[in-house]
Amino acid sequence: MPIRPPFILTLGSVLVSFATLMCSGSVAHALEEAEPKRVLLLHRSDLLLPATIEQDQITRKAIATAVPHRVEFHSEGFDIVRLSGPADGAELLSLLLKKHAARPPHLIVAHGPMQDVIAQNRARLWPGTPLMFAGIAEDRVEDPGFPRGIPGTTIRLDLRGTAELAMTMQPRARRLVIIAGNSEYDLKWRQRAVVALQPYRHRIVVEFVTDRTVEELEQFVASLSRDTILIFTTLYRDAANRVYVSREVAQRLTAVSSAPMYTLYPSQVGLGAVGGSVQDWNAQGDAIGDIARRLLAGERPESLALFTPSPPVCKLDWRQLQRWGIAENRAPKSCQILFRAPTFWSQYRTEASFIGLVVLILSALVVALLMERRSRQRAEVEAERQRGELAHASRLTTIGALSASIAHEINQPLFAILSNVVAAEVLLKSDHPRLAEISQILGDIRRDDERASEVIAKLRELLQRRPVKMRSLQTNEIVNSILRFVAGASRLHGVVITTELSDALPPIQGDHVQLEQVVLNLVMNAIEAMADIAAERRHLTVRTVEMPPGSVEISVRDSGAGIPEVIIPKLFDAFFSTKRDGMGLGLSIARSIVTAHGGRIWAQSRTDGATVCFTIPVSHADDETQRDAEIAA
Amino acid sequence: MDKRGSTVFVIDDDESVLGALRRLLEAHDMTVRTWSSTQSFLDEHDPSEPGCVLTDLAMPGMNGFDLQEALAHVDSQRPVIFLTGHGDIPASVRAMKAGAVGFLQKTVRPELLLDEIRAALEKDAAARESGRHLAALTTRLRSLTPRELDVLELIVAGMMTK
Repeated sequence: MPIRPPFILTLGSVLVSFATLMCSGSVAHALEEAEPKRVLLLHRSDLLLPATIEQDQITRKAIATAVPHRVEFHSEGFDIVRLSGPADGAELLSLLLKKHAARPPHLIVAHGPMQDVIAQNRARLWPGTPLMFAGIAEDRVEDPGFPRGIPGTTIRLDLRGTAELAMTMQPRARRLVIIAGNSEYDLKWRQRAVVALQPYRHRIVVEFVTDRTVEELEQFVASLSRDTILIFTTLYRDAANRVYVSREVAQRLTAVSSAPMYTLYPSQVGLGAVGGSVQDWNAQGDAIGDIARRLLAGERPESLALFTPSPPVCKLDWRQLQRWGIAENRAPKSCQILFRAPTFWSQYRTEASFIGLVVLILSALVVALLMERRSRQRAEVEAERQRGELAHASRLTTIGALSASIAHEINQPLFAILSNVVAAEVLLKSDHPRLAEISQILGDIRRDDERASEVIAKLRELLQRRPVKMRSLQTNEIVNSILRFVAGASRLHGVVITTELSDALPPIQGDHVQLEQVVLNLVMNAIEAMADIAAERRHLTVRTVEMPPGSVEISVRDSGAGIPEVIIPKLFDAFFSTKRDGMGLGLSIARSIVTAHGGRIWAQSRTDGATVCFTIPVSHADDETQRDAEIAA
Repeated sequence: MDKRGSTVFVIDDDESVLGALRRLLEAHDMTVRTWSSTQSFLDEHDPSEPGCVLTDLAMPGMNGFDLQEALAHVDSQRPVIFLTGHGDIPASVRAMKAGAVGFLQKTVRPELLLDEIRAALEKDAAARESGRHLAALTTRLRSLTPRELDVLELIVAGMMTK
């Protein structure tokens, strides 16, 4: 069989040759890497103008992307014309040459209107090194002294496009003014204007303004009506033969102009012009990169072209639209609207959303708290209502227990009345009735009737379910009213009731039925407490006294066996009772009534009897307005 | 029997009831004395004075039952009528067993009350009368000589002098 080389050998040789190839490539690359391509970017004006910066950056990016080598850039600004005059250009150039002598550039890119500088100094300016233009005005190429054979990109100045844009944005304008300077180049705009604006001559009046000094132009533009369209072309020299940078003149004019001004130059959009149909500098980038790459690769400059890579586009300055009150929506769809003021939202997005979130959370909290409060209020109202119901139920129970003595209490006066009536009948039958006595009898009958009525009225009052009415009350009246009511019960149980009621007590603030209920409860408890002791020792004392500051104390003392100490803390608890069949609610309800009135209730005990006391706050002048709660009591 | 000179002793702690009873009884030609507590009655009344007691049952301090007990304690024969604002059967039973001659409620018709009082006064008068009679007889008995006493016994036994 044929002997095939071992696989490992084949693989090995392939790998080795591949590596060699790589290495040689990278060695070559490394050799080349040792020296990057140096590109010198020349600008006509101050390097730090925004338009200059933009152009410079686009050029750098374009070339760095397009060129396969490492590129080193250097930018120089030639602000000669503005600062000193043409004569000193030579010295500056010498300086430039000296500066870069040690490391001369491989490519020179001249931006913007550099053609005269180049034309004058091409021979000195590293003649062997390739040179290209970037963004030179298209119509400058026809100038007589224009340096030939230099590739690059041009920009088109679109007078017609700008005029059309202006007329679209200001449809009511009747006058279109074109401003130009006095230099040879400037004056060419007249001819160009005639050609470009030929189709519009019936729509609008076109004026060509030239041969003014810049100051005169300033006055002129300030005098225009708002309805005018102003297009600034170029001004390199004014009527006083002073040299200017067009762009700066344009800026000065827009500052004082009374009419909106449009421009042909992309760099002027943003410097005061409303806008214009201008070259998009970005679109230049690719072309610049391509030309640069080819030049650095060694292609001869003459074989490359000088051309406009892309058509002009509509650009508008949003700020100027606002300034002149020009409606944004008139702009054609293809227009780019630049310098739009960032909305509050876009500027402060983070802060705004954060604050918005915080506000939202706080609002949610507030709402939640309000809802909480409402449900708490409702719960409180409900609790009060239920307390009222309970108090009512307790009253019914107490009165139920009192029913025998209530009946007794009514029977007494009724019996007295009947006896009196019979006595009166007998007296009337005699020959000489004693009218004085009969009159007395009638008085007694009335008194007894009222007594019975009072008991019934009090009974009805206590039995009624009624809303709480807070009033200014007299303590002693409450005590006496209940004592009259329970007179029968006390008599029934053989209890002697003594009162020690202070005179001149200040009025207390409360609901009289609820307070009577408390007194009733305490008195009934006291009477029951004495059931097991000898009849002659059953003494019940009710005492009222002022307790400064600001309350009245009512105490009920019995002569029973007292309350065991262990029971006292539980005495007022709900469902705690010492009676065999007691529900244990009376004292707890009494406590809740007293507490709701703002008072205190407590019990003390001795071997010879117990005392239960409670306080009620004194009423103040501003309590006089009755506060009727909407609860059933 | 002559009831004049008999007094109705009325005890009730309720002033208006007491006053009304006084008027009622006096209008019917009765002599009335009133007290508003058992204790004051016991302290002030004269046991030898003829008459009956008309008392309430439930009163502060000593009640009607206490009165009954106190009267029994001194062997008083005075009739007691209860006139109560509330009354239940156990109370009436207890009262009657303890010797009350009547147990009335304050819803009673006045005429019935008056009848009961008159009956009680009569009873009291009769009791006193028979008491006096008995007392007189006892005195006479005591004045007999022992021989007369023997004869009496024989008379009583045989009831014949032959």
